[in-house]
Amino acid sequence: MGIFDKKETEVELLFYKHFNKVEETIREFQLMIYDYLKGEQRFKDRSFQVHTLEHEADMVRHEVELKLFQGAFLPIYREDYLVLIEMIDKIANRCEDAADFLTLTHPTIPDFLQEDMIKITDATVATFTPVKEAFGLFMKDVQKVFGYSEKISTREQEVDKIEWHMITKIFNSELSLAEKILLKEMVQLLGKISNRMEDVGNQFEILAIKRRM
Amino acid sequence: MIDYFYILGGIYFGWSLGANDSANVFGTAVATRILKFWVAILFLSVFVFVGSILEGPKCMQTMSNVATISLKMTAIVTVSSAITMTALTIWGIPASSSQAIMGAIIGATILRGSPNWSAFLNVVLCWIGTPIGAAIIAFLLYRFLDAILSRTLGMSGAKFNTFIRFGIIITGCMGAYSLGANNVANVTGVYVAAKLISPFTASVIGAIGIILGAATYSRKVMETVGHKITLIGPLAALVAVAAESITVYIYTQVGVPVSTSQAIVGAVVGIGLIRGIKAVNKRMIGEIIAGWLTTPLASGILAFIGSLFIR
Repeated sequence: MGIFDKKETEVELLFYKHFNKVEETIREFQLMIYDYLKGEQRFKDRSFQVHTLEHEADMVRHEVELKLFQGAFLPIYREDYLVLIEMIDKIANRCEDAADFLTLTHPTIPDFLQEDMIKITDATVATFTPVKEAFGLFMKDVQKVFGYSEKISTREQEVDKIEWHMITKIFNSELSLAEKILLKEMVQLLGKISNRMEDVGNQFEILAIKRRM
Repeated sequence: MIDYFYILGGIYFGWSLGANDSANVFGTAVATRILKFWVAILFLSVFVFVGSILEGPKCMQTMSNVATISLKMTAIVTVSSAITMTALTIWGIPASSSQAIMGAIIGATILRGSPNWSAFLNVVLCWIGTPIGAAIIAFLLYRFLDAILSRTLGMSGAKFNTFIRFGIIITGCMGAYSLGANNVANVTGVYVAAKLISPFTASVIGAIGIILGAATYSRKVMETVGHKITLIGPLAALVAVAAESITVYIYTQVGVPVSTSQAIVGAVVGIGLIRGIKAVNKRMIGEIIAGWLTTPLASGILAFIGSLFIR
């Protein structure tokens, strides 16, 4: 429909751009965790890169918001797109929060938690896979996203299990209370990333239901 | 010359019809901000005028069939109808111009024994058929469009949005055409029946009255009614207006003026039936039935009282 949906097509392209930025943020965050666990100073560069990518995602989000306020899409759908992009953006925000925490507090990760740190990070990235699939389907044919909310939720529950398991280990250990609290906070920050992904999965389904009638 | 003074009643009635019924055709476009109000009025004016000129006379014969109307009665009939429409609208009761004018014609002529009850019964059957017909058309049209859109557009956001945007404008124009073609007979058909003016002149004057009402007093009604229709979803709103346009157009070919308001309510009910009978809003159905009774009764009583003053 070419010239008749120019604004809407521009918004959709920006949506893809924003989503790609968020995906890059998650990948960079994963590499940052690996470097942190290895004790490599390179993790600071990766942490800075997480910041940069999150900021770039924000810039694209602002562009989308501007285009929506300039009249792209029917008013009934504009709010839906705004809510959706803000939810996707929060995934990058939570990655940034976790990166900041590691950079500022520099907690020592005990040996008994090293493997779990890798597990929770990988499980978080694995949760993003169905989110990406759902996003692709949402942009092409919104009705096909039904069922993805459950897939994302199942992956998110895996992260929750690891989170719970890690916190149990922490408080059963001989570490000082201060160290326990710090590590618990770190684990919870990691868990929040997949929570935001679950929110996005739910939002896709809500929008698909809304589009039906 | 003084005989043409009676036409003022028709212009008033046309004004009240335009103020109310234009919301049924362009209310959705204005409430969703697809069109600015004045652009909607421009579209409406063009299509109401064209509909009135091309097919307005088709429904005018019905007025003559129902009763013999004298020139003095035309003023009583149109003014009674207009007052009824205005009062019911202020009280928030759905009002139909077709039912108002018919009730007034019956009320004004009953003492003289001139109503043709058989012709009137045919009209009543068409009133009952309007929301039912609109419901069936809306049900089928929605099913069809939903299936087609999934296959061809793939329901991507931008394409769906564009389809809805243009669809609402096109169906609004269709509705305006049907409104002009069908309802102009309500406004000035009585003057043709009284042999004061020709059907063509009646169509022009009636269209002007409707357009004046839409331009001067319909904005608030458009926002209210349009917003209510939009609550059912953009595609459903588009289908509702399309079904209403088609239904009213069918009755134009039958030659009977019908209610656009009842057609759109029937269409919304029809779309609700897709979700099952339990989803149907019984209050809406109650409103339709109440409208069949209150509007012609109210205008009939007013016209009857007015006719007592004519010798």
